[in-house]
Amino acid sequence: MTQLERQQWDVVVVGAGGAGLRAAIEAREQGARTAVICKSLFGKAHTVMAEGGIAASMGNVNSGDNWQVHFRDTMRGGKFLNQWRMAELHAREAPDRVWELETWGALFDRTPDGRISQRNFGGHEYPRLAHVGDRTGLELIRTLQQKIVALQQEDFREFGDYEARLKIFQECTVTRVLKERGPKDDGGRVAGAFCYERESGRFFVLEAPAVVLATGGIGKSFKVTSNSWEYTGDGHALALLAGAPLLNMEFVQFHPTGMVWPPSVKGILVTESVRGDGGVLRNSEGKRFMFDYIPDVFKEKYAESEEEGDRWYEDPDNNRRPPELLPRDEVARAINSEVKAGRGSPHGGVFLDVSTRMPAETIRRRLPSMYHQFKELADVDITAEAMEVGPTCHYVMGGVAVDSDTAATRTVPGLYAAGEVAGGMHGSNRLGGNSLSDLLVFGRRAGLYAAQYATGFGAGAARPRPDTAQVDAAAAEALRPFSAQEPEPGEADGHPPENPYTLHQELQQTMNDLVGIIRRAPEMERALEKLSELRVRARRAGVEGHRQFNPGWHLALDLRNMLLVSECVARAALERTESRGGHTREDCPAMEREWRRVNLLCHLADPAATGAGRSAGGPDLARTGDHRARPSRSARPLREGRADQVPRRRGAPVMIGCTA
Amino acid sequence: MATGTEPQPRTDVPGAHGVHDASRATIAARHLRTDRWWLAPAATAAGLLAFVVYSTWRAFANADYYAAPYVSPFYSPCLAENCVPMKGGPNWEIFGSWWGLSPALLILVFPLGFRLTCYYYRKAYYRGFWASPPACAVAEPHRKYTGETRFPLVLQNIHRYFFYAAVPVAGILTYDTVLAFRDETYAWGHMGLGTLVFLVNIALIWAYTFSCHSCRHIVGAGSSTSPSTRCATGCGAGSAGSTPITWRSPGPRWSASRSPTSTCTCWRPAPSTTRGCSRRLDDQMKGAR
Amino acid sequence: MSGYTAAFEVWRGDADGGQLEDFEVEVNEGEVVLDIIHRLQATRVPDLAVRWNCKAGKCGSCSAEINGRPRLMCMTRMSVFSREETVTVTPLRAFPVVRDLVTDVSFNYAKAREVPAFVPPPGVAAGDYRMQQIDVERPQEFRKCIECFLCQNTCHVVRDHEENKESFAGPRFLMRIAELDMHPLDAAAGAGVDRRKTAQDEHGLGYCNITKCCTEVCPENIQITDNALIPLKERAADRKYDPLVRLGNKIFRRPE
Repeated sequence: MTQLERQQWDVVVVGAGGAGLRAAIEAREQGARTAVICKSLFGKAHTVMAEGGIAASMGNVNSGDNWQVHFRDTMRGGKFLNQWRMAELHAREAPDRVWELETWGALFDRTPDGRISQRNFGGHEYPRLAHVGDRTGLELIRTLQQKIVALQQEDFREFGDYEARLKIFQECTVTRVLKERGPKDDGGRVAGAFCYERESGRFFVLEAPAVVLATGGIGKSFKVTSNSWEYTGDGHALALLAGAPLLNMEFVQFHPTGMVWPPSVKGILVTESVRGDGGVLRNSEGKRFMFDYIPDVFKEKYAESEEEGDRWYEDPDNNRRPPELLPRDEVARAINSEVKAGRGSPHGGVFLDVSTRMPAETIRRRLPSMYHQFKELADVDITAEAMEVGPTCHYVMGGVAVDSDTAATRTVPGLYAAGEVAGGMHGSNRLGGNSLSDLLVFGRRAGLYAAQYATGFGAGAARPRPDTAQVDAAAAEALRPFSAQEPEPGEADGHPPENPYTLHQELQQTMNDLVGIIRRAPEMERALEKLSELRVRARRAGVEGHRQFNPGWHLALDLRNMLLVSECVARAALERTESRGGHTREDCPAMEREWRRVNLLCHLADPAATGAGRSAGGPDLARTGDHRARPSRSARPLREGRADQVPRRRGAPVMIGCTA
Repeated sequence: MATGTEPQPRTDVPGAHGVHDASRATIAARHLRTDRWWLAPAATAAGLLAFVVYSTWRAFANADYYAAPYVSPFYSPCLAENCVPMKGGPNWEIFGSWWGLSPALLILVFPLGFRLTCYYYRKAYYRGFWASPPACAVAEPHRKYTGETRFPLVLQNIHRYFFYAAVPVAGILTYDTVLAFRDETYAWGHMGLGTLVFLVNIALIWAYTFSCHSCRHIVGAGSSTSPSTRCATGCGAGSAGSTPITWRSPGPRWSASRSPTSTCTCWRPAPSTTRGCSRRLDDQMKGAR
Repeated sequence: MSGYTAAFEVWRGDADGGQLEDFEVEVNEGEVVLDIIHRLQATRVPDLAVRWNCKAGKCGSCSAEINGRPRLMCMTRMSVFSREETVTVTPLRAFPVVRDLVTDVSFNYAKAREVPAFVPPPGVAAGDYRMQQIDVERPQEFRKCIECFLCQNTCHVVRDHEENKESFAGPRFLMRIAELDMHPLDAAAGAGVDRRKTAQDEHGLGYCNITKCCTEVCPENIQITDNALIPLKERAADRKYDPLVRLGNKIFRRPE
């Protein structure tokens, strides 16, 4: 077996974004020795990209706000598929989490009386988003990062070592969650994580009874995305491979406004604040087309004429809001339809215009980073001309199925998940601003319960020990791309190694074209075929060079995760024969009542298949049962739109049948 | 771990330093800039040098500095007995008759010191004359660098005293500008090209003096709350009449805003005062609505 | 504008040595330098090491030196170069090289730890913090920092003098001290931390000779020198070089 460096910790947090850092802070404050592993440098996590704000019902701007209203908005936005208990905890605890940030040094924009200012956002009834200009995510990550440093300074005073109780392993990647050798293959408890250091390629094992997954989303499986390279679905895949199922993976949010030109920046986000502050969407004929796309359920809440919509910005009490501020899924679909109907902009988007709506000075003050972004990247002066925008893959609502209170996975003791990687909180569609508060609320809870669970073992022999066979298998799996030119045992020779970059591009194109914003059954079936072909080819993904900081190798390893997660998305999307939130079926356009009670769980057929050759990219999904939604009971008193217009089309068993 | 959060121990290679240090990427060139990076420091150096030569000559010349009603700013105020008498002008013979050199030297030391220690001039001459650095990302020629940590450059920290001195000098030059509205017979109501030059000169001098970083610090930037905030909270009643020094006094944050003439109770350093302060503000805001 | 072929020189190597390697590579409209590096990775040299994340100028990962100037690769458009020009891309030259365009930036993380953290005002509960917008705006400017470390890289104090790294925190972290000192509610002084004095004594503020390269390279356009370093120098002067202020403090200090 391989000789590896092993370290003992109480809690290992995978990911150093908002959820991961908040979990680490909590675990450390609970007294657990905590290690954080992140793929990038400390402080570069994708959370910095969040622009709008943190939703929390502090009621600083409108005192009518409270947690119940926030809860209602969240459930409505998620089309009542949310785990109601998560939505409740989220709405209740968000204000405390935001105020806590201030005690760690965060500096939010202020109201005239000196409190935290809050702004309007799509789907939120009151101004609710605590913000710092349009760089709230950066403020959040920096505050948490600096709090971690503060805790390390405490440890330095006490132990003479900054990293005595809280250490960041930056630029390291986890490829496997390790478990003890259980009675059954998937019955064991979590025992640690298998990692490699990107810089040197060196493997190491962190032994810990509790692992918190906080790895974010899956956007890099799609071609047009606002997500960074890190979003390869690592946590989703790690959970699957460890035997924890994924929930409702068909719900992928496409943000309506991403840049479409030039090609190299396609997908980069154009914040919702542009529309919140008065930006309007027009097609190539100059028409504000959103007025044609107001669904019946929203008719009474949205303006019918441009004049009324325009008055709303000044007088929101006596006018209805313009339809540009419909929930993200509605706007994204409308843009898609306009482009399809041939009324798009030259580069395949629509026009988002603020230049005719506000003076140049106001635009530069209110939307500084948007002004900067278009000026620098597209050579477009948004104070003088319209932006071209189109939908971009932004967020995955689905994720690891967790217990609402403790963020623990339901089947693997010691495995926790928080943030975007966890599913359930947002139902079928997430409201803007609810993501950052989700990170804080459930990051803290995951850290808290993981620490309690881990410290319960004491330091002694009761702790689960990683199965050495799993460690060896993980090491072999990670080294596989260097010997890709050799045939696998039992396989015929003669296949040239595959270029991981090419495989990645094909995967992105497939997901974008066939499991994108508008879905059809035959296309998704084609996607599944293509995915299984890619999975086979990915086993032969080969790399040149050596293990020291080798991006080709890193990508080859990430491919396994992307393929696994993409298959879950495609299968779940094919299974859910309705349209709801972030899942739109052209062949099943209505939202169906029965489906409201159904959550789709995605399991791995053979989680024990950790053999080096076989598992690289091999998801082998299996049939699982359906999972009755818990949210519906509490959600029932709240009204849901259109539930009674259900065409009877759904196949009988609500199951995902995944075969290799 | 090199990408960890602890730096690696260094191994020193004699002869290699800076961008050629053994640990850095091996690139022989001192810089790879392709633009004309040398233009700005060269122009600065040439301009400053020309001015230094000319002004040194004029300062030592002790001649041609007064043509009624105009007096050269170099010689104003004129503090020795060997000055040309200027009617109503800035003649104060503080130094009496023993001073034999040019009287410009007596006064020029203040504006000179003000400019020598000025943050903007420092950038210009460190780059232009000292090549430390010549331009951004262009390696400097020096083996050792201690910056402004030691004598004599540590003296740059007394910039604010030169600011204090520069204010009265600027005041006197303002007086000279007023006198420039006389004609050569000292009758008021004159305005010539010289007057205009004086006007432009004094406007620029005041702009320069008041944009001084020390000035900005002294008038309130040294505090973490702005004077307008303190006024808004109703706690700053005394601050308008107080000396600037109190705005940057030490101690707990809220006592930092305390003014000796203020009777405002909420400026006590106790933590609860933070809330007291804001409550008061809340009340005011309500009143305002 | 259609695509064309550009000449690139990219530094490849590691701590043991390396050199600039020539590439001819396709460039399309609207692309940035990072796109070209990615194209090289995907088609020519799959193991070309480079750091990047958001590709939108928000995370500060893809710092490098392009034609000798420290810049973010994702925010440097190819259109700023002429078609005939050879574009040279090297790693940051103030930090130890790891491989290709990746450098060891741990210096910055070590310095970050040496700056005492924000001290919350004692007795003020979370949720009771009150600050005025006008007062938070000054430190907010510094909190725009994306920690790309271009300022740390370009500052000649450490770039040209490795030995100064021990005693000099660099512009980014001196700015952090200024940010905390300007925080309206920071209670460090009450906790016995004199940020102004220690800026000079422990973090090497005196090494800064305000030649403004940090400001020149800042991709966020933060006025590091004018708004952070110079005010901090003035604040340090209060503590260390201004007898009048000391006298004033003695006279006006209220008995504790």
